[in-house]
Parts: sequence; structure tokens; C-alpha cells
Amino acid sequence: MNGQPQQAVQLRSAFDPYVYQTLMSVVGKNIVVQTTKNPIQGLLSKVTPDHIVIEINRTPFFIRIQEIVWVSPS
Amino acid sequence: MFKRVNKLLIELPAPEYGDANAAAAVQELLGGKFGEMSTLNNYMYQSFNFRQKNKLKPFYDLVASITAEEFGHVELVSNTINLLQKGTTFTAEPDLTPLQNAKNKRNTYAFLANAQTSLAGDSMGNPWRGDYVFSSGNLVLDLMHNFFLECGARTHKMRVYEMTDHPTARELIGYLLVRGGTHVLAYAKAIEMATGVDLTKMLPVPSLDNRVFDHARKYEDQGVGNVLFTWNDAGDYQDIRAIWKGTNPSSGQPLVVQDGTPQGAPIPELDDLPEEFAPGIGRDEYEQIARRLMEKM
Repeated sequence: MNGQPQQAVQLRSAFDPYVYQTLMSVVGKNIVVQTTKNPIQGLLSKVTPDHIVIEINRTPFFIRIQEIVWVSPS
Repeated sequence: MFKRVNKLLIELPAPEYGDANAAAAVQELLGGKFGEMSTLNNYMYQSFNFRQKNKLKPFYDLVASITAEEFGHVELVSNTINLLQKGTTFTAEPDLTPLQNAKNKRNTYAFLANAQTSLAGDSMGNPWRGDYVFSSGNLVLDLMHNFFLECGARTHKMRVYEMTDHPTARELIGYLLVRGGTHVLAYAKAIEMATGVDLTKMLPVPSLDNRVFDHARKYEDQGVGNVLFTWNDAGDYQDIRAIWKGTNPSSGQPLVVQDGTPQGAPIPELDDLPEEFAPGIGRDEYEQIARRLMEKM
């Protein structure tokens, strides 16, 4: 850009290994997830390193782990 | 007398997520000075108080029949607010503070006084007031007031639309913009009949078409804005035909009077909210209640 050679970009993302590990242990259970916006209460159907999937009345909500404040079984 | 139909004017989308602050904003369209409780009560009292109903029947019929529609609008806005409240709290024991998120929402009454449902008040929590009703008894003055009220209501709807993109709120506002536009035109035509002054030339106020709003366009395309209903199935209020005639200046389509009510849609079901103790009837209590209700029928 601006005649300068482009520098290689290093992509980084934060990873909460213990949050991920704990969430993996409650897959298939009903949980409450307090996000930075709203709480979501439903079935934890999937956990990936950067997001989880909660189902409410079979509607999936994909939640970034970085936006989770706390999690509690319900 | 009023006869009640257990239907909602339109089908409201009910997604599994809400927006409590959007619900607070939509309260303005219910219990604000320019909300549906104001249009309802203005036309209701004006119809009760109307002098020389027989001599001026088309005008009486207009105000009286639109009263019934406004009742349905109050019901529709209330149901929208109820659906918008979803997803702020969670179900848990009181010691786990299940209402903790309600502290940071605009309308605490919705969580404290009500179980996350509509209130007879505005977006700032002020109660709806009886002095929002204008019923001077002078026909032209009351009609001019109603014309102004509908234009003010339209402005509020457009602004709430700009505040939230929640699908339930937008479906409501898209529909109300079209029906509100119908009422603006109805009062403009009534004033023209009463005075000879053509107010339709200054419409729309504010000067953007309903079609600018995605959720209103569908209803405009269906011609929802061209119809006035009598809201009666016994042949009353028919003389609105003397006022509601000709074409719609915004679309050029013919204006139609239809007997009765629109078809309507189901009333949304609301889940229980154990953290609000609402309705507060558990399985055991329900079984006892069911037994008592079925006894000696």
C-alpha cells in the first residue's frame, strides 16, 4: 500500500483452554451462559475452540467464547 | 357495546431472542402521548361524546369504527412488547440472582411490577394519561386533532423503527405505518367533507413514503392501506363509505370499505417465567386446579 511492500500479517486469536475444556464436559446439558450482551439458557449442543452452540427450542445460537462472562448448569 | 375477537391483526414473528430495551422503546407506541392507547381513547371518547350522531352519521361512523381498530392496535403493540422481552433473565433459584440483567435495562417496571410484559405507559415509564384525550365536541376541531394525532403517531413509529431492527418490532411498525397512513388519509378526507379543504395535498407527513421502510412495503403491496373496515357484522358504521371513497393519493388505487374485521392471526403463546413466579402454577397445583374445574360440569 502507498508504494510500500506489503508486510506479512500474523493473525492471533485469544484462546481460553480451561474454559474450552470445562465446556466440553457439559455438552448435551442445559446451561445458562451469561454473555456480554444477554444471558442464554438452553442446550449446549457443540463446543469448538472459539465458539459454542446453544439450542433454544431447537434454534441454534452460535456464541463466541470471547463474549462469555460466566457459565452455570441450569 | 364491544364484541371481542380472539385474534391478532397480523402474525407476529416470535424469534427465540428478544431485546428488552427495544421493548422499552416500543412502549412509546403503546402508552406514549402519541401511542395506540391515545388514538384508542381519543376516538372512543369522541364517539361516546359525539353530538348529532344521526345528522352527521358518516363522521360518527368513522370515529366509532376506527376506535375498534385502535383497540386491536393496542393489543398488537402489547403482544409485540411481550415477545420482545424474551431472553433477559434466566430460570434459577432466587439466590442465584436470575433477574440480575434486568438492572441494566431501561424499563425496570417491566421486571418488577410486571412479569416482563407490557405496561400502560410510555418509553420512559410515565403512565398513560387521560388528559391525552381531546374531545372538544366541535367536529372540525376534533377531526383536525385526530389528523394531527395520526401524523404525530406516524413520526413516532418511524423513529422507533430507526431505533430497533428486531424482527418483531419491525413487523409491527411496518404494519402500523400502513394502517396509520390509512387513518391520516381518513381524517384528511373527513376534514375535506366537513370544510372543503383538501389536506391530502400535504401528505405524507413526514414527507417520506411508507415504501422507504422495508417492513411496510409488503403491506403497501398488498393494498392493506386502501381498506377501511366497519368492525361490525350487523351492518352498522356503513356510512364511512360517504367519506372513504375515490383513490389513495399515494398509490392511485381505489379506496375500499369492507364490512366486518380483517381475518387476523393467532395470539402468541407466552412461556412461563418461574424466576418471576408467573403464572406461578406448578404441576401439582395445576392437577388440583384441573380436578376442581372438571368437577360437576
